[in-house]
Amino acid sequence: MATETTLISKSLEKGEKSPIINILSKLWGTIKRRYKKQFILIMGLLVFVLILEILTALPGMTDPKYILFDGVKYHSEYPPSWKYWLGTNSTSQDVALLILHGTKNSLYFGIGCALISTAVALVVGIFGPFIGGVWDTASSFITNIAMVFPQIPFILFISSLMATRSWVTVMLIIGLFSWPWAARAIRSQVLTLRERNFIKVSKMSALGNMKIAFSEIIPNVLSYVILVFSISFGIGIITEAGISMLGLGDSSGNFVTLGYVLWYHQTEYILNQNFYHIWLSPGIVLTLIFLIFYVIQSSFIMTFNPRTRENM
Amino acid sequence: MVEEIIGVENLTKRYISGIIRQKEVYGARDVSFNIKRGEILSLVGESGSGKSTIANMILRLLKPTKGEINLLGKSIREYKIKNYYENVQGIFQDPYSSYNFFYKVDHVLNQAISHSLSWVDIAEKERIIANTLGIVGLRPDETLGRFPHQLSGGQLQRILLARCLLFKPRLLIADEPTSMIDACARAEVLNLLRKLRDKSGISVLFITHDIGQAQYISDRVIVMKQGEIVEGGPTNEVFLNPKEDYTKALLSSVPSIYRRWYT
Amino acid sequence: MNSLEMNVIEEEDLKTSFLDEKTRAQKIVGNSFLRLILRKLVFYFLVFFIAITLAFLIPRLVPGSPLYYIRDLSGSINPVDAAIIIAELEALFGLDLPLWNQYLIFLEQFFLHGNLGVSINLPTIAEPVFDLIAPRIPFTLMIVIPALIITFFVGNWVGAWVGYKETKPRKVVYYTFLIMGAAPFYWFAYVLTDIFVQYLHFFPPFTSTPEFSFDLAVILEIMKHYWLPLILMVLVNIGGWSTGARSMMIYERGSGYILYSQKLGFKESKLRKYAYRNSILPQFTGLNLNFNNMIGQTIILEFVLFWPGLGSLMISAFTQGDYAMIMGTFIIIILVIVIGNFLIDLSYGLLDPRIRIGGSE
Repeated sequence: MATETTLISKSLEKGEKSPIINILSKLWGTIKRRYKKQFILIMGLLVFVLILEILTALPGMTDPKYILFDGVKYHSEYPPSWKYWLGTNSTSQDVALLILHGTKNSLYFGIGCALISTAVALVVGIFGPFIGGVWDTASSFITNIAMVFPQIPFILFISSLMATRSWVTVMLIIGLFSWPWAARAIRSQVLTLRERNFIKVSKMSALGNMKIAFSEIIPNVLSYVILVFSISFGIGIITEAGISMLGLGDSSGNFVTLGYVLWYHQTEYILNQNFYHIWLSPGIVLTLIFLIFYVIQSSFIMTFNPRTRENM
Repeated sequence: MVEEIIGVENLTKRYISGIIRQKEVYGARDVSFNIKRGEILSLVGESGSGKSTIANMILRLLKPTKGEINLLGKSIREYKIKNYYENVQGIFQDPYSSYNFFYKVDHVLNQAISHSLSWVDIAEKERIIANTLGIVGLRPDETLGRFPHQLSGGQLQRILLARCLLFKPRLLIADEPTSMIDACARAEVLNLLRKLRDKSGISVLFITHDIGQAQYISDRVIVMKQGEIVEGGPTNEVFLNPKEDYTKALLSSVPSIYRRWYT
Repeated sequence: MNSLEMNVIEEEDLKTSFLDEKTRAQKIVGNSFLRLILRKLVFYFLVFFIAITLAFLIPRLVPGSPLYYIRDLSGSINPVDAAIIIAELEALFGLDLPLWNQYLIFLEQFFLHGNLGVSINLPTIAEPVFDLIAPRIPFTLMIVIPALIITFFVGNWVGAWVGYKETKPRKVVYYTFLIMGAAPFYWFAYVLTDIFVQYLHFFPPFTSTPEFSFDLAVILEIMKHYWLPLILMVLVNIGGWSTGARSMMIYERGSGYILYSQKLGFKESKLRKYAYRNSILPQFTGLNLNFNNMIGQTIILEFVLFWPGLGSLMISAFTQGDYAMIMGTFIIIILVIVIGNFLIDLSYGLLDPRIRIGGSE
């Protein structure tokens, strides 16, 4: 009998916590338990960002666009050496420093994009089908139409028409144009969940729609959300680099990203075989970032296969 | 005193598919019946006959197209959701899908108790949960703190039953509660439903496609076909002297073991 | 570009198609192919209409007038002249009218007259934008369409081939394509140009691609420039398809009918054929998204490789502030995408046996 009461009190104590904290702590527990591999990778990435943050805060490394001038001559177009690991560009800037800052900023940019597009995808994908009725039809219709909208032309079009663009604007534009596929993926998952009995059971406990969405639906689409987030992360970085390379990124020039580094050289060094060190490195870094995300994503991919999911 | 718990009048659910060329399908069509206090009523019919549609409409999980459902003589639309579910509860066919696999089985009980008995303190809640689990024949230390996949279908279904009992409902809707659990657990669940009716006077709307179960458990039966009521009445009357051809056909399709019993 | 994105969508489609088999069948059976065409036509017209409405609204809503490039000139030329120029241009584009009036004019000009305005860039000043855009369309399509078809078949075949037997050499091929797909395509263009143009001199430098004309020499010259962008698009996009096909194949390989047929002693080659077909078929649903992505990629690639298609026209219009040209190229790109999606949907309809054979339930 003693064991019974302790078990019950344990389970009830959990229920006694504020519902939001309760759900969050459960979510956290599941993330750690189920997605250990991905969790380690993402943590590793965060540590990497932290290292970049520390490196770029070191004295003498805070300004990526610092012009190297020793009082006599400009250190422009130096090949890689011990002093300048990746050489310098025609404006006498240290390429390694640019890459360091660019990587950091690109990662932040990717997180921002991923947050925006995942949030939109969640709202459209979960609440549409869940509230049902007109909202459901509307969200499905909007998603279908937005699926056809070409992402890159739209992003280029909007940014080209803006006189000034801050990196936040660019992030918003990219984020707001890259959610439809994610919304559709989440939506179809929610549609199958919606028909499951536990939703009915929760309704019979007189829980509101919002509460059900948060405590019953979101935990079940969690793996999708993490996957969507990591894909959007990669897409955000690559797209930003692409449009920055065309000179349509942040117009103030103070937000150095990998794409900005590419653009800097695109104008002058394109096809100049003596300057590999300048244009090769940003691309390699971008490829590596994308591959890291590929590893994260491919560990999720089995979750998406309808036939293998049942075994999990 | 015999009191009407729930009355259903001309209940209709129409599904319309397609936007341009519309096609109508009836989930239920002009269904009327009532359930009295302490009565077990069975809805019998093949799959797709609209039994579950009716259950979902009474449980307010589906809006009827037409018709009226009255609880204790008052339209269910006049009840607040919270009050309504203190009177009417249900269990479903698939016990596995009734649990969110993300949580332990306690989750459904906690949800229920925090709604129905939010004012009681923890110790009291513990006692109530332990008691209720005892009623459905489960030991708390065997069930609480486990994940749904660690328990059997019969256990899960009984926990759901316990969950319903936490509300002390007047009407329990059991939508094919036994069709996805193994045979011995099936008898236990059926006996449990009967015991609940006998002891606490709960009315039960028992939905099944299994005529044997319906005969075993119910006081009255209603036979349904394609959303409409074919025949209804006291169990023995309907099953022993079926008037409609459909009921006869349904009875003749019962495995021969029953037939030999009677002849 | 987004290999996994593709994969997700495809598998989701597959799943919904399993789940909603019945409702889908109900929907499709009884609908002739003609009805499908009609439905898709209405949908894509709606998409196009919304897109051009956005194209009309965005320049008028974003901070800064569409003519801000010209405004910037006011520093370099006489401010009075600049003001006159801007006023004249605003009158030319009708920007001084109320918004609804502008919108009606825009729609009337586009739908009734096919008029997209005139260029204000100096070399081509006052020429109708549409006449400048039209000759560029084939240049973009001749990259996107073959690339789409080649990547679909090659990519899926590679994926299925790797998934069927995961030997080391097969995996090496697969991961090579994967890495090429992961690399940013615009940067990969630099790498390829450097190798094939600078060092190996396989292809001529890109700056000299001629305009199209019906002259054999010109066509041959264009063809010489054509291979690298095409190869690049193919290499970059194979990875995405093969990821999906591989995971489908891994499943197929372990599915009941294969194991059963193996037990029955079917020929290996026959089984392989079945498994290949089954793992590639679901990939068809990814064509739309891939087509859209490829258009986006081509736009940037054209600029990087100086290929005279729609994309390079659009991007050079950005830099010159040629407002009508930006609008025009954008609208035409949308049109190409909408028509392409429509055709892909139709071909998918033709492949679906429930439509092809017709409803007979």
